[in-house]
Amino acid sequence: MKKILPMAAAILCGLFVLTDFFVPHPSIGAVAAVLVEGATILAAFALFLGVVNLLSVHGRRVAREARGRGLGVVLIASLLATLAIGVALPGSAALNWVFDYVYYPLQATMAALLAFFVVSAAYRAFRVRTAQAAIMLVSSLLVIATQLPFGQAISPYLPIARDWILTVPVTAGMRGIVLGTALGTMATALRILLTVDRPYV
Amino acid sequence: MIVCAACNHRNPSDALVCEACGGSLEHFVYRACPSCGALNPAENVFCHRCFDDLVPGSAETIVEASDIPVESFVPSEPSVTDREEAVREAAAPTVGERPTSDLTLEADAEVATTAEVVSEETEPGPLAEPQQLVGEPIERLEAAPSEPEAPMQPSELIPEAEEDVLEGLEGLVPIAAAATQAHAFALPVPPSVSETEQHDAELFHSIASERGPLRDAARVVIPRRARLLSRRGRALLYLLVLLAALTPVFTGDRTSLLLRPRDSVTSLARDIQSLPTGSAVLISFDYGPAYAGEVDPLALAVGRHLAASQVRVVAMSTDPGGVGLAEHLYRTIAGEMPDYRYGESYAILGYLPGPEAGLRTLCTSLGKAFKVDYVQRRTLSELPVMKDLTSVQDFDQVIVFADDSRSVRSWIEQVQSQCNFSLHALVTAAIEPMLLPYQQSGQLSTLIAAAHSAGEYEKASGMEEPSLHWTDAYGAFCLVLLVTAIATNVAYLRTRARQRSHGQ
Repeated sequence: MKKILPMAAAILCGLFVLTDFFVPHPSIGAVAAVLVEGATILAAFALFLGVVNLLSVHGRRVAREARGRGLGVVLIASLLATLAIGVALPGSAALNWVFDYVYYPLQATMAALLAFFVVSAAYRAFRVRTAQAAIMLVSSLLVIATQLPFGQAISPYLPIARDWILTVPVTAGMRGIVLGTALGTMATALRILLTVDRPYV
Repeated sequence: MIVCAACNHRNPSDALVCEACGGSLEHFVYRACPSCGALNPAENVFCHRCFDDLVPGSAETIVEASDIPVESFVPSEPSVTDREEAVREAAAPTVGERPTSDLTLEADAEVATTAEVVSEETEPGPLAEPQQLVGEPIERLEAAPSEPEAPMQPSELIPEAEEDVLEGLEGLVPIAAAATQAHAFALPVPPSVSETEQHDAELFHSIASERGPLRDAARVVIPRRARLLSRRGRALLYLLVLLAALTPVFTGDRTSLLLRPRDSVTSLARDIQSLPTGSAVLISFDYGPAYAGEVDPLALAVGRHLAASQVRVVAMSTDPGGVGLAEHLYRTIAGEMPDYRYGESYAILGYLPGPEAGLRTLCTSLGKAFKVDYVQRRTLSELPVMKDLTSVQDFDQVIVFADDSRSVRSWIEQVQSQCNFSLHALVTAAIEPMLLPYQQSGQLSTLIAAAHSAGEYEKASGMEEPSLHWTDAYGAFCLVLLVTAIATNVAYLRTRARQRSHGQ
């Protein structure tokens, strides 16, 4: 019974949601909507579990006075402060201040460092050591050149070359990846529906 | 060269501490052979695979290859009868006085059993290879430990001429002198192995026999190349990046004359321009602050255009950071347009958890997905901007700003496939290629890489062009990247050509 009940629930839920895609019947749609809403609630609860786990891990680190406990203290304090402001004063100026002056600048700064990494990579690693590297270099330079806001003013052929690279070789590769992903998803779904895979048990 | 077992970093031969991770190199270190790349224990002087010297100069002190005369060697193929005879002779000592012809199979089994017993007694661990003992004379194995005090003379160790398997090989490989040393017969003596050494040996064996990155990396000996530029070169590059960021200070709006909107950008601007007053557009801010620098200018340009066209805007996000970005952008737009008020002209619904499942809910009811709005915490029915808007199908257009292709795919697969509406994806340049198949299939009405499209959009929509400053910086950075890649490769090719001309 311990195994049969979860398996039956998984098959029924999966079949209802799947049927709703192909059979637009109101009764099936209503049941599927309840199930999907439940999945959304579960996803939200997963966030809560993530917070509890984070507090647990860093709390233990602080309690044991392990290495990096100072960072753990900062993390827990920041998390609790932001959580308190967000729950008590949602959409308030205080929460906006935290976002505008702490969260936004920190993430933007980390991403901005990418510019230095990219230039450093172009300097250190982007070399024509082999024929394949030469092809990649020429393609990359072409695409970068077409990314110039005024690339069209430099040469009218640059956008044409970029479009060809993106729509023919790149799209061909991406189509293959997308089709492979779709086939993999179908196989996984079938394995779960047929209880070959039971990740929920 | 010593390879650190912890981080695979290649350190100089005399290093005691790893340059990369700071770990001690006194234990668990291996010398990578400079010729074949094979990993050898630290105490090895010669490579166990190619016999090259691991410590430069040591080989000459032990054996001078040039001193050994090279003789011609003509290999003779032994006949089947010779091989059978050799097998019988090898098995003979293990069966004592009994005739070998009757006991060949029995002898093999006995030898194997004895070898297993020996291997169990000595507990050699994974390094030992019991199969190598099979076929060895048992008397030789047992007698060797009992006679260590009387080392044999090198002349005694040289086998008879007719039994010498190395006959004719002298001088081909520089091992003849080393092979005739007396210490070669010290090997059968079972060494006393401490627990630490046993552990070290097992660890070495597990690492050496594993087809992991350490072993693979050790096969490739990367020669140190001459630096194309000094360390100041990197500082110069970073300075160029900084100057690219400051480009708008020098260029002003002058580059706007060079900007020509692409067809996709013009098409989106035309679509929004054609929306009647009071229409509704749903905007999903599915990107985080990390990519705000790339996407924000276009989001701001589109938001301004929608506000100027008096189109109702409902914003949401499937990224926790996207809600704050939407609030930030619309606070800016509302500050520029006094008549643009929250609740009447626009609303922010908030963060929608559960990527696929959450988006699927939008098809049935917005009220189920968002109980209250993000800013004023009012139910959606209380907001004037939400009038006649109950599900995603009630919107005239849906625009998704995204930094992750999975988000756009979820919109296509979970929402658009169920509710037919016009979907525009304005994304980062990095994920644009991943979404091209969806644009070509018609599932995406518009696909725009937001990198430098903000200025193009403002030009196409005939609005003010505050984003052009940002566009100049982006263009300058692309130029820095181009010049760096080209200059570095020109220098690299010239250096290589010079090295070839000097015969290096």
